[in-house]
Amino acid sequence: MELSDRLEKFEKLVSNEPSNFLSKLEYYRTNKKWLDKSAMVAVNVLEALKTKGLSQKDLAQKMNVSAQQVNKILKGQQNLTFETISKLETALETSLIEIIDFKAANTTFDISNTEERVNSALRQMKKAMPNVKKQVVVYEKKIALIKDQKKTPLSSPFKNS
Amino acid sequence: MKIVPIFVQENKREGLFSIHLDNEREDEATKCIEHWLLNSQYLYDFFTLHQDDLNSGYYGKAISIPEAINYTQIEAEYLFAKLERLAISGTNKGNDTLSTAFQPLRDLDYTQTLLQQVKAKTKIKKKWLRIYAIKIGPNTFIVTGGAIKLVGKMKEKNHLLKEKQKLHDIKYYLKEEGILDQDNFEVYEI
Repeated sequence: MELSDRLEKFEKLVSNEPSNFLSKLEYYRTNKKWLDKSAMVAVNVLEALKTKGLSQKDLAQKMNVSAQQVNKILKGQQNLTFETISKLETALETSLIEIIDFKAANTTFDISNTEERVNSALRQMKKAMPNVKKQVVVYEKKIALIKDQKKTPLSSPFKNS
Repeated sequence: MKIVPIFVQENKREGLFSIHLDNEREDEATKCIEHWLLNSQYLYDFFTLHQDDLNSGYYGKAISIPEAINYTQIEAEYLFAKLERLAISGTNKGNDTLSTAFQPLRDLDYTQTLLQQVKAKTKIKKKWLRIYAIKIGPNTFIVTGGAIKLVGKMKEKNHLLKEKQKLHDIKYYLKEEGILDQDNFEVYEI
């Protein structure tokens, strides 16, 4: 059978109704950031349910929500609120997400104005150097003195006896 | 059953199509997106059921179910983006077509000939996603379904056998509609 005949027959079979493939793919891409996070929470909830031997129905009862809502959460399709996450955490007696402590994060990881800070430290060191050098000279003299004293023999207490 | 267009030229002769089975909410290609990107529970249940295959060593060292879900979603994104790119560029002469993404289904069948049953594979770390399709023309493919393949042969698992059966059923349908003839069918039977 010729290719053109085959494609002509095929064309007649194709529905006018398009697939939802592209719209679903577009939906995923547009909402990827929260969908990926929602999926991670869903997997953690599923793991917690398995570990604790709880059913989805048990979870719905503990959270006081519908089975449909739990179903949506477990699919990773729910744009979760803090309220829902807290309900999940309470029901499962586990932590599902971690909020970074803003102040602690700043103290530990702040690398802004690094160049300015390094330069300031160098200026302070430079300023302190003359005093440090003077101090070093004093210490060196003291050390030399101590060494000389050790070399000089002590006078005998019996010299004149 | 219907054949629905995904990426197609205006004349609906070239591009990527999918079958939409009766009593199903979505066509087979869209179901792959739903299962692999938009339904964590589906993946969790699947990998729980097939945990022995996951730990068999066929895809390297054993990994946890959450890791397997993560790998699947990464591969799915890559696979769909590749299909999209090729389907769009394939409509321009001289560019890569869908034929460069789909490979012959049978291991011994190296040449890509028209009307083959083919599968699209990806080139990333864990390559267990499969999209099955029938090739009608150089840049005309009909998706018949998709599966997560954690074993070497399709005959080893029921969900893969179902996909194989679907390929056969669609070939019969296309034959009845006069698109495939008897010779084509005999040559390309799995």
